[in-house]
Order: sequence, then structure tokens, then C-alpha cells
Amino acid sequence: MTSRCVRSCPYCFAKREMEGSPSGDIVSWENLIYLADFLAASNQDHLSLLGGEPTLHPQFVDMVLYLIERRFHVTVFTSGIMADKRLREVSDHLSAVPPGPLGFVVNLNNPHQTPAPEQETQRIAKFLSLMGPWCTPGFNIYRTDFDIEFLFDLIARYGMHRHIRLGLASPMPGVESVFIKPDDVRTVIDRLYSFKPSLDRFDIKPGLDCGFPLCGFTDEQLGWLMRCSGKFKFGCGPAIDLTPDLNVYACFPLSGFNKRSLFEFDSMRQVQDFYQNLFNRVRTETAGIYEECDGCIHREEGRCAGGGACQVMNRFVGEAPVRLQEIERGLSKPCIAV
Amino acid sequence: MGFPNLVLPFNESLIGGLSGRVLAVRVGDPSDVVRAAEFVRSSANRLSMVILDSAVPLDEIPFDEAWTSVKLAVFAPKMGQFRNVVKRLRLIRELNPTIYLPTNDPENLTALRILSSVNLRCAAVLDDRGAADWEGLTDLMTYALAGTVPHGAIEPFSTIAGRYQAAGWIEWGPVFFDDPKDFFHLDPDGRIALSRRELLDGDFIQTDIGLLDEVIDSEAYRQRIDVRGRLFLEYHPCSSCPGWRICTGKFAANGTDKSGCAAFTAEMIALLDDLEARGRRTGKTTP
Repeated sequence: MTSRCVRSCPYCFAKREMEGSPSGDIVSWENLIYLADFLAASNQDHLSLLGGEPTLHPQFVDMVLYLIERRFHVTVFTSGIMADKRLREVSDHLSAVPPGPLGFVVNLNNPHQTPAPEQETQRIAKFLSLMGPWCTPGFNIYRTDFDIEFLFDLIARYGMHRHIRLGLASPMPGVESVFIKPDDVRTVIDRLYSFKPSLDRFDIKPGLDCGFPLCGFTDEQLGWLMRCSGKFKFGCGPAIDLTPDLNVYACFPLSGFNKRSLFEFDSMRQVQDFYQNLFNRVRTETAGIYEECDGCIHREEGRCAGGGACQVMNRFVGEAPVRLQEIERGLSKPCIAV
Repeated sequence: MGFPNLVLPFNESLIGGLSGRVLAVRVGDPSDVVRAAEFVRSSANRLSMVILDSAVPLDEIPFDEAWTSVKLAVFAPKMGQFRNVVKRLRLIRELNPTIYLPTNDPENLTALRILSSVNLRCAAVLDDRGAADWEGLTDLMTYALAGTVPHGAIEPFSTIAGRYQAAGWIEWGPVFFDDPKDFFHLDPDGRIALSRRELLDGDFIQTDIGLLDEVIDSEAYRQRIDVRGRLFLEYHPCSSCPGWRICTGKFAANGTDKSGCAAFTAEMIALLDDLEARGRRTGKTTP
């Protein structure tokens, strides 16, 4: 929707994309309609609106209503921080939409571990008090001692969905950033499991975003996940992210890798296949984030992707250019002229 | 060719004085829509449609379920906010009006695309100089004709595409009630003009309503409907423009500066030829 944001989270993996975009970069109606047609023609009925902070788009409310009118299920990824005027618009117009076709994933930071100005906290509280039933809390893990206890209170207080979307902070190959390194993933999983008693007590289910490797979990932990959600996947495939001017890339962390224009494609299937093919080539070079990923039965049988492709490619950046050409071309490597 | 329909304001004495005519009645006040339709139906004339000339944007027009029995054209200055339009969208679709927005405001090109994409039939109103933003109009035309997903028709593109053939001219003025072969325009005093523009300019072909039937036999009328002949005799640049067969001199007021309209019509002809070659006459419009 826009590359502007009101926050500067330490783990932000949209940073590269946002810093490279003009400050006034917002999606136009023409591009939104093109995209809606493109998705409809591709039989896709779900899309997520991201930023920056998507609610900063001056026509955010109108565009959400438009997409819902076009029969899309819309998920808005927001910080929940918005000006009073925008909040009134959201409340007046979007609270009339049933939670089925509209949902918010509210990215919440632990106020002690990632302190924010009091005013931001108050604005998030205002948003949640109005739109809580439409909201799923999202939490990005960027340190091994992370704490999600604060979310339990927010979920209960504002009537949010009893489900936490947990993301692993990812590296952006070629860009300095804070992220969870492969060697720390098991520590992160153990830490998450330490919240099991509270999660069970409050009947809150953890949902894992991409990049978690199956082997990072013990059988006991896997059993718990299975019991909580009935399903789990340890995948990493192209999410397919689009910029306001309809450039397309695999996902935010890989925004610098093989960016294309949506106009080069005829369907989402083509886009998906293009990036899946690139991901496959990356995995041909290096199976996953651990040595053991090569030959791992879970990976071969499709139960695990072998961790995040961004983690794998982050390793390539520091190497000599020995990888497949289409991979090398997409990486932001320092070049030495000879 | 039948006698032209009459486009006239909702004026009871004017309508009451007519007999056996087909009327398109203009109203400015939405509360007059049903009253005007019922009055014409109870007169000795036949109602073709009610034209609502709205002073307020589309999102402020109080569409009414009572209008379902009326064929409706809505001229509005702009769309307004989508958040307000969407609240009435179901009713507007039921009423099935054609929504006319002027293209002298480039924002309306976007609005027309939005309205079309939610399956409303609409029209880009072009004045005698065409559009303020020809590139934007070209984009809209491309969307209208080559869109991949069903959407509401956008006039005049749909009419042109529907009637397009490799040779021959296409007349689409009637889409805008603007073709003297099909429409006469009357003012409240019964004075007759051959277009809305001429009516507003006070340029009447006949000022006596009693002589209405004689207009079509007049030399002035015959000359007026032969636009091409007139422009040809004047050596007007339009008469030799390749775009003539789909614009028929509609933008003659541009004079020799044809960079906008000529490029637009050339692009449209190329697109229509391409669609024809691929076996598609128009974009996927909803019925």
C-alpha cells in the first residue's frame, strides 16, 4: 500500500524495500484494480495489504472496502498505530464488515524488550479497543530471550483471536539487520515451548510463520503443536510481495533478489512458478540452513523446507561468486573490479 | 430513420403540449425522477428515460428503490468517496443506470474505472475537445476493451467496439444524447437545438415548437447532420485524419492540434484490430 511506516522496529525486514522507495510511494487505484483483476483472473480470492504501514495510505479505507466488494478476503498487516482521523474512518466503515472477509494482523512488540513511546502504545490500545475482534496478534522473534506473556493480557482485554502469528526475524541478504541465526533457532523454539503452560491455560494457539525447520522441534514439541492447531508446516515458499508500482518479488527479506514487474506475467501461477523455480535452484545449491538438511528425509518428503531461503542466501552473499548464474545475478554482492 | 427523440426538461406544460413523441426527460432534483416518469407515461407521449443531472457527486445522490421502474441515466460531476458509493452499490446495480462522469477532471478517469470494475455501466463524457488527459483516456479505453475480468461497460468505448468494422464509420453520439439524427434538445420554452451544447449556447435551429416536425426537412438540419461533408469542404484536418471513422469529427474543436485525439483514436483502432484478429470484439463486460 505504501512504503512509509510510523515505526522503526529493530528487526524490520522490509527496510531495504522501504529505503529504496520514494517517500510518496503509494499504490494507485489503477494499479489496485489491475491487481484485483489479475488475482481474480488467477482464481485467487485472498490478499494481504502490507506496508510500511498500510493504514497511512490516504485511501486505505476506500481501497479495503473496494477489495471486499470485489469478493476478496483481505488481511491487513498493521502496527495499529494511526492518527485519530484514520482510526475513526476504520471504526466507522470497516467495523461494519464482518470478520470473515476482513482481518487485521497487528504486529505487536513487547513493550519492555522493544520499548516504544507511550503515545504509540496508547494508539495501539485505541485501535484494539475498536477493532479487537477483527485482529490476530503478530509477534516477530528477533532475540532468543523473547517474551510473549504481554500478548495474553491484550488478547483477553481486546477480544482478539486466540492465535498468535509468530514470525522469525529474517535476514535480508546483503543488508545489515537483526535476525535469528540458524544456530539460535533451537533456542528460540525451546523458549517458545516454555510459554506452553500459559498458552494452554489461556487457550491461545501459536501459529508459525515461515522459516522454522522441523528438526528444531522435539517430538514432544511437535505433539503439542499438532494438538494445538491440528496441522503445522515448516515451509518456506515464495510469499509473492508486490510494491505499490507493481514490482514483484518472492518475499520482503528477498526484495533485492530477482525483482520483476507484475506486467511480465499473465497469472499468479506464472509468478509463483517463476519464484518457486528460483527457490528450487537455491535449494539445489544448498539444501537448507543446516548441513544435515542435505539428504534429510523430512525435506525430501516435503514436510520441511529446510529453513528460510533468505537464511540460505544470506550465506551466499559473503562467498565468492560460485553459485548458479541466476542466483548470483539476484544477489547484492560486493564486486571487485579486475 | 424515425423522428428524433426529444430531450427536454421536466416541464409539465411543455410535455403536456406534445403528443406521440419519445421523450428523455431531464431532472435536476432526484425527488423528481419518479414524478417526471409518471407524468410522461400519463401524457400522450412515450418515455425513453429519465436523465438525472446531478449537481452533487454520485456518492451523495439519494438513489431510491422507487426508481426501479425508470430507465435512468445519471450525470454527476464526480464519483465522490467509494466508501459512500459502496453502501448503495446493491441498489445502484438494481437500478442499472448509466453513470456519466465528465473527463475534464482527470480524477474521473480513475472513478470510471472503479465504477466499471464493480460492474456499473458508465460513460466517459467527452466535450468537443475530447479529454483533458488523453493518455489517461487511452488507459481507460484499454481497460474497457481489453480487461481480463468481466466489468461494467464503459461508453463510448463499448459502443464503438460493438459496432467496429475494418471499413465504415461509427456514430456513437447517441450514447450521450448528442446526435441530431437521434435527438433534439428542447429548452423550457420549447425552443429546439440539435445538441446539448447548442442548447446551452442558445443556438437554436427552431424557436417555435409548433414547427417541430419541419426541422428535419430544413436545409440547415441536412447540412448539420452531414458533419463529414462540412469538414471536408472546410479542408478541416479531421476530414483526413485516420481516426475519423471512429471519432467522426467529434473533437473538431481541437483544430489542427490533433496530437491528443489523433493518437488516441489511432491507439483505439489498433487495439480493436488486434482484438478482432484474436477473435474478441470487446472486453469482458457484464451484461
